[in-house]
Amino acid sequence: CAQPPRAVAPDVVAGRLAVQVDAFNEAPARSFSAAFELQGNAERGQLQLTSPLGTVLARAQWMPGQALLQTSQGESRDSSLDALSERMLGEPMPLAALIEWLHGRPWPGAPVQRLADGFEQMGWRIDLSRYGDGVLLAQRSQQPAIGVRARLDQNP
Amino acid sequence: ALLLAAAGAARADALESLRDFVREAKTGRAAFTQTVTSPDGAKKKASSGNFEFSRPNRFRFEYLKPYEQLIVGDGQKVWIFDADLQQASSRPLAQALGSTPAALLAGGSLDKDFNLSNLPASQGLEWVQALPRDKESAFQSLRVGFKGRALAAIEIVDSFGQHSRLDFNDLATNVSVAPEDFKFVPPKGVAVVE
Repeated sequence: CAQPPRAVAPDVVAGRLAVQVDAFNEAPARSFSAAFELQGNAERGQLQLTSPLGTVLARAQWMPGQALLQTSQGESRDSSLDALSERMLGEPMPLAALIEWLHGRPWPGAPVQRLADGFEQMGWRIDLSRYGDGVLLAQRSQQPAIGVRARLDQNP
Repeated sequence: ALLLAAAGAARADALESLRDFVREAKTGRAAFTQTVTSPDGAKKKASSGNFEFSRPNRFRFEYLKPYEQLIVGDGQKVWIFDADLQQASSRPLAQALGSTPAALLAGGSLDKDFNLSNLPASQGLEWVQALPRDKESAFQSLRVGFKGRALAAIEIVDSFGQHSRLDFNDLATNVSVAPEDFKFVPPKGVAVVE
C-alpha cells in the first residue's frame, strides 16, 4: 500500500526530552526537561526547546564549524555542537550524536556496536526497544552518569 | 468593590478589573486551553487541562492533553512533572515566579513585578498589558483579557516572539480548593532533582 504521506518534513523530530546528570565530585545533580523540535541532522540543523507553558527556552542552530545558542538571556557562538552542549548542560554531551539517535539511528561520526534492542556508541547505550511507540532512552555510564529520555510526538 | 450600574455595567476598564481580581480573588479554578503559535505564525500547538490557584504564590497547571504534565507552585518552589518521562524538577519560586503568568494570577505584588497599562479591546475582551520590570525576564510581554470583570485569557509573548495564549473558561473565584492540590509529591520511583 502507499506509504502514508509524512505530514512533516522527513528530518523533523518533535517531542519531549528529559536529561538528568548525576551528582559527581562537588557538582550537584542537574536535570532539565522541555518540549523539543529538531530539524536537520548532526551536520546542519536547528533545535528549539519550549517550556510546558509554551515559551521558548532556547534555540540552537548549527552548521559545519559553527553553533549558535539563543536563550532569553542572549546569544552565544561556539565552534561545535558539543561545545554548545557543554555550555547548556555544563557537561560535554555528544549533541551531534544525540540528534541522530533521536532519529533512531547511530551517529556516522563514531564506531557503533549493534545490540539486540539498540546500539552502543562512545560509551552511550541507546535503547530503541520502545522506539516504535516513540520512546528513546540513552544512558552514559561513565561518571557523572547521564540519562536522556525522549518521548517523540506520534504526529508532530 | 465596583458597583455595577442597573442598566449596562459601567464599562469595566481592564486594568481596574485586574486590580480587583488580584485584590478579591483569593482562590480560583478553571479549565483552560492553551494555543502556542510559532513566531512566523506557521505552527500552532494546542493543549488543555485544569488550572487552580490560591493566593499568594500557590498554583497548579494540570495539562491533560495531548499529554500529562504538571506545574505546581507550592509557595516556595515551582515543580514541573512530566508523567511520560517520569521526571520531576523544581526551581525556587523566586527564580521561577518573578514575572511569569503565574505571578500575575497567583502573586501578590502586581505593580512591583509589572508595568501595567490598558490596551484597546479586541476579540471580544478588554485587555491589560503587563510588561515585566525584570529585564532578565524570559518574556517580552503578558496580556490579560477580561470579559466584563471576569478574567478570561492570558497571552504570553516570549523573547523569541512566540505567542502562548491560555483561555480560561468561566474562571470561578473564591472557590474552596484542596491544599494538597498545591503540594507536589513525586510518585514512587520518579527521580527528583532540585
